[in-house]
Amino acid sequence: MAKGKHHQPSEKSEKKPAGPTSAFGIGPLFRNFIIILVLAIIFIGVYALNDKRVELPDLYNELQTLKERPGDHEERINEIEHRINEIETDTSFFKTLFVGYFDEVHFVAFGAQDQIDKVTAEIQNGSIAPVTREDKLNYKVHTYRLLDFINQNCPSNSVILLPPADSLINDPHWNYVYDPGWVEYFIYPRLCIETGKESENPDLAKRVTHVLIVKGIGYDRLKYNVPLDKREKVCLLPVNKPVDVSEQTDTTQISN
Amino acid sequence: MLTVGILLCYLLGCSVVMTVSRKFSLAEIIGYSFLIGMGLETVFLFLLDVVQLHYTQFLLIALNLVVIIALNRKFPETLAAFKEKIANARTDLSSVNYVAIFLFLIIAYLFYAITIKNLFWPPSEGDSITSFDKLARVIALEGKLKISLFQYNLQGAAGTYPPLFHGSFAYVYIFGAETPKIVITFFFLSLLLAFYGFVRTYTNAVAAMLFTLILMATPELYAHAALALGNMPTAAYISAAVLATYIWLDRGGEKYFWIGAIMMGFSVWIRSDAIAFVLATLFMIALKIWQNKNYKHLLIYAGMAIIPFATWLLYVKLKIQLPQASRFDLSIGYNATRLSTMLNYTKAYLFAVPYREVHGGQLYGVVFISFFIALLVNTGLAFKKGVKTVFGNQALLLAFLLTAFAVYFTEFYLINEDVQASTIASLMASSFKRGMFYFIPIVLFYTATGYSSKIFFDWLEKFRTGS
Repeated sequence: MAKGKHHQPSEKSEKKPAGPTSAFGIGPLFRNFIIILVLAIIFIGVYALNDKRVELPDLYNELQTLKERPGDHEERINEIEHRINEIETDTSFFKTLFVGYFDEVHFVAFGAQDQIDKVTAEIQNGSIAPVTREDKLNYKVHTYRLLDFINQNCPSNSVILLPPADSLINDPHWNYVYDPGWVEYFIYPRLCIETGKESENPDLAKRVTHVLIVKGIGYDRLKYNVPLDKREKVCLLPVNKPVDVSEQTDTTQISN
Repeated sequence: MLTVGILLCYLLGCSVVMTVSRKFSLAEIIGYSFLIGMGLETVFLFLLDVVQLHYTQFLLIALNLVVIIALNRKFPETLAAFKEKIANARTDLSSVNYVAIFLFLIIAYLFYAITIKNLFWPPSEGDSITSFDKLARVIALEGKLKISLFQYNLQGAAGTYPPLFHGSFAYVYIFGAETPKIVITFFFLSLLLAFYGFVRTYTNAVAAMLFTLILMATPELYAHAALALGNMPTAAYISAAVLATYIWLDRGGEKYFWIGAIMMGFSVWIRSDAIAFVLATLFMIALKIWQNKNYKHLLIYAGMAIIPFATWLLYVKLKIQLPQASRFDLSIGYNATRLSTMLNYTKAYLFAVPYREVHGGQLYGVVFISFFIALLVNTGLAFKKGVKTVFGNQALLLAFLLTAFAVYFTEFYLINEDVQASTIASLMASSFKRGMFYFIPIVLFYTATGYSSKIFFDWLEKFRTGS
């Protein structure tokens, strides 16, 4: 098949430059420079169209901090919300064509390394150890410590009963710890199944070894009683009563 | 070992490209090599699974070496061709295209920035965790495609997707990668290089570089160059397939025919729903073949594109044996609400306007708007210069775009919301939005090489060189 007729493109512009000067008396180097200048002006102009967006991350951060902090900050909150609204709704057709480019250049191209350095410093927090994949996942996934806790405390052949979706689905704090498809990524080769979906996977349901309790939900799935005053809000417990006290899962690491 | 794995992948792809023809440009060779190499690596993974051989580094290295050696029987000639290309690439300072270099430096910086971001973060996207990366990690650990998670229905939605994307992740895991996202960087690089090569076939370096920059900087696409999702890699395969096929139809010669057919095969090997693009491409070929009656090529092309699709369907049915409800509801009939929702989203994407939570302008920037402007200007010029002069064979490309979009739109119209566990609005705001990537390189190719652009960039080149 390599021997097929090769048809050379005929329209490539492989023209030779016209020497040091042209009919207009401008050299090719200068002409190149003029085009570069025009392109640079266009690119900078496009960038400047949306430069107010630079303020957005700080405004959103301040807004979130003020909303979480007790006290009367209503005036400042209104001020920030007004400013955010002003920037976000400044959306003429022409400007919005270039909003995405602005964001990628400003926040990614110019900001990627800064952001990585900031996150690395935050993760390391004084430690000199290199930042690992686990550190990064912990930074990105709120519930990573909980999922890693499962790995640390359950044998590889365990089957974990996850909390029911309807108890957590509206609470972003818990990510998707009710979703077996999502949790499985973090706990493989352990397996998992969602409470309430046992009929969809009866073989797995029969093999449940541990129950992941979140928001205090799941104690009714244990084959033994846990006194009310000893019930943690978040913990991982074996489904059958542990014979030895040492087999009980330590929940102190995740109960916070 | 990861370097060895990637190197083998490039060598394998390069061997295929050089077997097809030694007359591709360097950008084309590098661009196609990874796409073809990684496609073939996942074919190896598939075949090893079929013959029930457990994946190991040794086995994959041996398999790669055998195929690379078999394809390089004329190695001295290939080496000579390479040397010639490198020698031709040398140039003296007086003929340096500074404008293209300026644009290249911007591209290089943007590429560097997104790459450091991509390589820093491990996959954390929902689809990657529930499907792609999970499948890949377990495939690498268990050494087979049909992993144990299928037994418990824990494989995720992509469990029945063809294996190219998650297989590419598995391939680098087998070679010791900690995260698979290096593959995303290579897919992105290949998309850009192949696109540059295609556009450069028709126009000058400044135009090719400028449109490569526009392609790369498309906001949503650029964001995906740092995400472990399959849409951008699929766009790389589909655009390479369609544009190579178009160049073959327009310019003749065998080399682009084979690249087009191979890439189209891999397009359905990465996503089965790319079959929409196979149908549209076959339609484009049929339009041309209607004139020259070259049915042999049509049959070979159709075979190359449909065999991987059918093979995977059979594998899912016979080996994975997952009970599947049909994704499509063919009895849907006319549903005005659904159609209106879809049309509104489509309008937002194509005409850069907002609708509900999406804004076409923010997602795709100037891509579609510049295409429509170019189309309008070209149509205007067609009245003056004649339709054949202005559109010529590009009418085939426009026919392809129209057909592909119609089939793609219909696919979504027929999706069964219950089986997909998602509303049509949600699908339009996510899957359909990301699927628009497949059109972006093709639309930009038309804008860059259309009649009006050609006039403008020829004028610019004359100005730049002073000729």
